[in-house]
Amino acid sequence: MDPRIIVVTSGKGGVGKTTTTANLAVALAKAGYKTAAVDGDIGLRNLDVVLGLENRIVFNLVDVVEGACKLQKAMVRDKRVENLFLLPAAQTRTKDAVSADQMLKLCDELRENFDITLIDSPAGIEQGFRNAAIGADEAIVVTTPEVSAVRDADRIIGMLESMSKSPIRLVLNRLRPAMVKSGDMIDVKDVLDILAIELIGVIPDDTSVVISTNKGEPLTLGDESLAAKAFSNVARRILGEEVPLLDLDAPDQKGFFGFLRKALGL
Amino acid sequence: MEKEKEKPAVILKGGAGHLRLVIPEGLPELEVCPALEKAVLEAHHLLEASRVVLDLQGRPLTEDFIGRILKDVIWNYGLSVLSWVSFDSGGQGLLRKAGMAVGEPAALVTENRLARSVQTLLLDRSLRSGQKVEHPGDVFIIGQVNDGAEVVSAGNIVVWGRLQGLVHAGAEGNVSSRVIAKSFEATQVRIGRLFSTFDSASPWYGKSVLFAVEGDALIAKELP
Repeated sequence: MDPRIIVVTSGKGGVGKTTTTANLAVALAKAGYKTAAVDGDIGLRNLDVVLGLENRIVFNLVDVVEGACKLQKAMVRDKRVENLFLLPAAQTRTKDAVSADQMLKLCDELRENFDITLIDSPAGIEQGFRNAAIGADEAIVVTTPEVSAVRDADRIIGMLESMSKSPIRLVLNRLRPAMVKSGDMIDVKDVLDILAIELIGVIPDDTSVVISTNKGEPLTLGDESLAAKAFSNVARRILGEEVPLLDLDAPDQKGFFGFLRKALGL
Repeated sequence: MEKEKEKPAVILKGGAGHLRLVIPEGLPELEVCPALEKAVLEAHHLLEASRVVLDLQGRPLTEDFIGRILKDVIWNYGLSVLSWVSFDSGGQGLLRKAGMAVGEPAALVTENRLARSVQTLLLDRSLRSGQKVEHPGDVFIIGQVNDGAEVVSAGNIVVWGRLQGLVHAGAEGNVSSRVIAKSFEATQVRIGRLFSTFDSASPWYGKSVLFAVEGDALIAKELP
């Protein structure tokens, strides 16, 4: 496989870009690919915490592009998963600390050293997003089934298209099947109708995600939850496997209460 | 992994009394200036004698990018630009602030009767959030106008798809203008100086609808 660089972006903040990046990076590394997770959110770094590597950071992305240290030296190796490395963002600098040319150069270097690089983009459509996306070949757009998030995703997709990213694929995060059923949440089909790009995964809204984020242990490290399974499936689809979408209604039907619900037709 | 797609090239088109350089959205920003230079060099004799419409499609424009086009292409090759066409609302603002002509070349349309065909803008694409079309004639869109996109026309607007964004027909005051949407899901429609707001509970939502002005009111009619 040729080295691949994938930007994970959304337009709107708080829809799960960092969680998605962390979970996919772990799953891809577990699949045997040398994986770099790059925090592109200079000044507001998060990916280190979600990956649970915040205590091991010495150098960061800005140090690398400024030439203060070599890329290998700044990459934090994950001790839990072989093949997984984090390039943290600088917390004390701003988005202006890095130029587009520097990012392109950094991406060339990442390409030489890693099979797959995931770049976690900051929210917004300005320089920070452009820097995160400029060196990437492909894009994953994360959105939630909310009108505001979908509209922002639409804007970002337009920008990614004009930057020739291909493929541009969609992760629909925090879906609640019960709410969709009762008509209180936008359906997967409606989101796809508007955004008109390929769907690469639907992640159910799950308390396990919040717990794992706070613990710094991505679900794909070994959690059994449905969300963990959904993230693992996205990683498999990135690697070209054909994996059917999960039946998100299934958990409601399991166990005694599930049986009761089913019997009562709820 | 997918093989790299063939990069689209800059297209040179003839118009009425002008030439049009179409810069496809699929071309990466860093490759636009070299591709433009290549097109200009290939058609130097034609371009020297004519004014040029630069059609940048829905590509987001930055100060830096516009500056590079001006410096590396326009001034470098002595081109004379008639107008800049862009669907990027932010980019249109930047160009206007610099006093540059934006949109289809209206002056030319009225000067040259042969150019009547330019008056209807037929767009065979969807408009995404943040993209904006402004046109001095009718606009016909075969595609969706998504939430956050805008269409402003001096004439009629037809959206042959789902309309969620903002449309403003008869924007220069022509109240005989109409708006037609194949599937209407927008929250607002404007014709001339009148406007009306809607929500998903309105009887028109999801229907094929025609909007027009009668007297002082904006009226809606469901189409069969």
